[in-house]
Amino acid sequence: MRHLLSCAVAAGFALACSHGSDAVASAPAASTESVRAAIAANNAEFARAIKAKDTATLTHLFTEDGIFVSPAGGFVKGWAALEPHWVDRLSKATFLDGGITTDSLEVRGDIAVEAARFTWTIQRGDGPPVARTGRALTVWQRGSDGRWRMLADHPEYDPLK
Amino acid sequence: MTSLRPPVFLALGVAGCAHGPTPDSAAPTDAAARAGITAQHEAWREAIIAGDAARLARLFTDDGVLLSLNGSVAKGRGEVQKVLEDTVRHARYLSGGFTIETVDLQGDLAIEIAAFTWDRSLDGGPPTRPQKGHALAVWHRQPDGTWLLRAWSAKYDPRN
Repeated sequence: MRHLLSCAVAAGFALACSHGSDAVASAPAASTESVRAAIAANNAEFARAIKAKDTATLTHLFTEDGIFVSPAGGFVKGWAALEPHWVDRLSKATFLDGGITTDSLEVRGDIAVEAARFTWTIQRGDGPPVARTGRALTVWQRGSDGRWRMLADHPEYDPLK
Repeated sequence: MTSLRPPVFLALGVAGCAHGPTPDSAAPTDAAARAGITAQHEAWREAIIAGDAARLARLFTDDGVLLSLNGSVAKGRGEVQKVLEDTVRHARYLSGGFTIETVDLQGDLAIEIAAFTWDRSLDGGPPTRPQKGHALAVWHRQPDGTWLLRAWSAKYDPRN
């Protein structure tokens, strides 16, 4: 993936120069399909982590200054705020089952914009499990290590029927 | 805000060019992006208070995505306009608007968290009183320098 990042740099340089193809060799950026696969793997990891209450993994699926727009209102930004957010949220609710499916994905260099749908079976306290569906708008950023992390995530539950 | 790689890449690229880009193709500054987005917020405010879904839809790119409050995911300006027509059919927007909370500039994309407040009349009912909410917006700068929505997701905060 480091190679892909280098390619993206080279491609960006080449695009900025309408005449210049001699000095910098460009190479294709990551294909949409490879990005889709990487993000699907991250979504699967998110689902595993939220069910396991693995707040460290949930936090680090975001960029260091990533933003989570909470279904509870407002937003939290950055690892230092995200981790206690997940600890608090998962102290009140247990995600028993579910997952995230990519609906659409647009890749522009090191940024990918995803519209996704999710289903979760959630238990709050001793209450009965409740199945909820929803959708999310997520902006992913590829880091210098080649990994895709969430720059911003805005999930929202569908209205209860 | 910390990731400045795309602008840096572009700056490197520009430095390597003998002639450089035209002004419209230059990397936007944070201030310019905020000004452009603020102008579009105002355009949104005017259009939604006028109940004009077509004007609202024109704030999206041709392939823009709208995650709406009713649970739908609309793709493309045509679908987006239909959702917005349904929105303004059921809700008359009386007053309100947006403020920028954060903007993260990534080349010709700007990722924004916006706060909003709207006072609405739903299905002819009394004003809801101002309701606050937050939105995630992905803006895409066009060749003419305007910013259009590539993706938009908004929701009201729980009653406040």
